[in-house]
Amino acid sequence: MDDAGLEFDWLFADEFPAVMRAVYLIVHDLDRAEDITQDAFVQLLRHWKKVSRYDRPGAWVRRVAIRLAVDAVRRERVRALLERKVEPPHMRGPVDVDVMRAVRQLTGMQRAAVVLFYFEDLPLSEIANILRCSGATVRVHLHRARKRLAGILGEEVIEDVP
Amino acid sequence: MSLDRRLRDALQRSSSVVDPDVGRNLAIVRRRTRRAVIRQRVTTTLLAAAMVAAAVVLGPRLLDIIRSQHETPPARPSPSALVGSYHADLTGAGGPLATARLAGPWTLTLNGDGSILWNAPPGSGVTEGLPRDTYQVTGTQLVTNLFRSLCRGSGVGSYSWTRSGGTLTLVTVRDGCQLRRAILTSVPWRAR
Repeated sequence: MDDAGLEFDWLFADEFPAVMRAVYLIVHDLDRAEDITQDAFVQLLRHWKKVSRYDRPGAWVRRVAIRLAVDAVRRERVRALLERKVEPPHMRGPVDVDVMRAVRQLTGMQRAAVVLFYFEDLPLSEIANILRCSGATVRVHLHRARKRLAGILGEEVIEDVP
Repeated sequence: MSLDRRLRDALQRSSSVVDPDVGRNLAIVRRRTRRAVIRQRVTTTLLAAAMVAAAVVLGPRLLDIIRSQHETPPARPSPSALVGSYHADLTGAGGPLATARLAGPWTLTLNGDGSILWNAPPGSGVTEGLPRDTYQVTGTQLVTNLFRSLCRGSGVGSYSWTRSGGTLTLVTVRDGCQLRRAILTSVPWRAR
């Protein structure tokens, strides 16, 4: 295997689990999260010659994966609406069921904003870049998401967005 | 516990179930990438082949259409510049006209509706047929099917024209009918 191939393998081992975790928290389905993350890495490998020259190829593939996840949630919500089907995906492990069920009520963009902000601890500017919107729009997504979650969970909203 | 704290904890705990087999996933990604690249190459090749085939099949037809557009005479222009009656005395003309007993005085009447009336020399036995012969004028060029009865199978003839005072002079551009060429171009035509 050449240097480029080795470099890709290193990045893959480093990033795949982390990217898949973020995707899973958005789509709430382990198999789908794995598929979406694979899709993102397929794109990365296809564009590896170019992307490997970037400062942070990992950020590139994460951005692609998050966007694919948001699209998947959007499609899933439309499909559920059309079929009037509200069947929550199966979540395994030590899950705070109430919180995750509440998160499932959010739109794809709100879910992504919540995951990137609370789980990935990314700054608003980077979240905006990943979601292809302005920082102000990210704030709106986060604000609405928190308000919705607080309503569902019966919690008080305390803003911690800078 | 605040909502934000609860969210962070819940997301952290939920994510702990994600522990993918990196080696298996890497193999899958490599395989899928190979397939995607092959699919893309096949698609590109097929597309290129389809374009070449389309060019081979449709190219000549397109060229024909383009050529025919250039060759089709434009909408009938106003022939007003030539409208009128003309006569020419071809009594002294030899060659094919003498052989065909067409030497003598001729008259032509070019009408504004694009039709032409003509009279052959007395005794020639040649008469106009129906429908009437016609002409079209484009710039300095005149195209006509004049003398169809004499020029069977020769199609139309093309002539350049100049008019000076009462004299109309025709010069052959292209015409396969020898008799029509002789009648129209042997001498200038004079307006009546």
